[in-house]
Amino acid sequence: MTQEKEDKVYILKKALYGLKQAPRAWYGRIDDYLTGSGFQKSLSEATLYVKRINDDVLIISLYVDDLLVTGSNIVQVAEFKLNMMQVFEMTDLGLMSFFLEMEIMQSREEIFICQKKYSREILKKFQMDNYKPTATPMNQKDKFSKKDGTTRVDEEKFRSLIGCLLYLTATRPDILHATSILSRFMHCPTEIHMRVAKRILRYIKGTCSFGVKFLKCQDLKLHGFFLQ
Amino acid sequence: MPGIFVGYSDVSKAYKVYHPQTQKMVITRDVHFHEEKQWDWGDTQRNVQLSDLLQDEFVDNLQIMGTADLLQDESFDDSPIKGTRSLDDIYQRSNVAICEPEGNEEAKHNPEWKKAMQEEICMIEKNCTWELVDRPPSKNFIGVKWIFRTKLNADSTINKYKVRLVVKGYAQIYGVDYSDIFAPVAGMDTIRFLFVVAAYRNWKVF
Repeated sequence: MTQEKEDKVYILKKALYGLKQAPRAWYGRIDDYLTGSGFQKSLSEATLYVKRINDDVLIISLYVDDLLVTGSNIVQVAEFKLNMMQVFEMTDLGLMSFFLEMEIMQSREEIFICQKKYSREILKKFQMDNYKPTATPMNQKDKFSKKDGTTRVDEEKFRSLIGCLLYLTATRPDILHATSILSRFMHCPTEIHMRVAKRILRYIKGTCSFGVKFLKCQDLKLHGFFLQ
Repeated sequence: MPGIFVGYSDVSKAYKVYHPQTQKMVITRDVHFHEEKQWDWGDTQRNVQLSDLLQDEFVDNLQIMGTADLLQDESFDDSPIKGTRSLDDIYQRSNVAICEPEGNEEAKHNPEWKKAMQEEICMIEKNCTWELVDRPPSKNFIGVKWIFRTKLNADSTINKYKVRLVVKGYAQIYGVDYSDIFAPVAGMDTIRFLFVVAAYRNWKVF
């Protein structure tokens, strides 16, 4: 129900921007379409759809209205894209090269992902673009505590910085440990914590273009570990 | 060599002196002023153009005597360094503001916005988004409003006038107008995993 007009109102049949249920309505719509056209939804990840056609597979990952499409048969991928463009008025951006602040380089037998641009943006945001780079993200022997005697710093800034670093860990496993240790002090950051956080930024500064490279390998085995 | 004092140097503590004989401007500190004397413009024909040029300015017609040593290195080493800045940077600093209308009333008078609004309504009608019905007495109704945005290209030129009709979602009541509102998005792990599989199988991601 929406929009008064004396004694008439418009009854909404479809979602409009700003409606609380708009994102869900969209997800329902595309979910219906994908499952309707033969895709199987992953049980543990609601945004992963797989379709098997004979011996070929087509895999789709959903990010609101952005879709990642891959598959063993390039013709099927093209067909699917054409279909989506007709049904949802989508545009085809071609080979994926930039997705969620992630730069993706696809070449023969390897895919490289990095967040170079995003790293530079963080450095600029926290006015760290003129600092000297360091070779390591953190001191090996550093111990941290809630009360270390130094004064408290701006919580909002610290949280924002940790948030940025956490997002950066998507392609930077090397800062994961340091960031996760710092994130324990989000509620009570002190000057020491801030200094360590800035050190990570200085490390990033020297290693902006680092990322993760996925190579084609001979035999891929998935190992699982259980903790008792 | 006699010359005419025309002013002061911008970049060093020195005088600007014009030599009519050589038609050159020099910057020098080594000058002797002859305050009583005046330059006799009549004797050199080729200076007419220049004297016209200098008329507007404050020209102290002082004749000077002296050897005009050029202060070469000294006078230019402290000239200001001018770097280049990107256009984007300049726009950011120069407080260029693009006015976007606040509401419907304001936008109605601008043909650009009006056109964009009509397009948006057209789109809503085309999708059969709503239907006009009698107002049910016991139901909550929710207002709508127009949002106006000017979309810019990367070089800060105007790309298009974008208009959206949005619902005032905050007026909805939980449990009455809606219940579940969550929608999943892909996790970073899933996206990375997709790349792993694609690289392993030598597929391309689109």
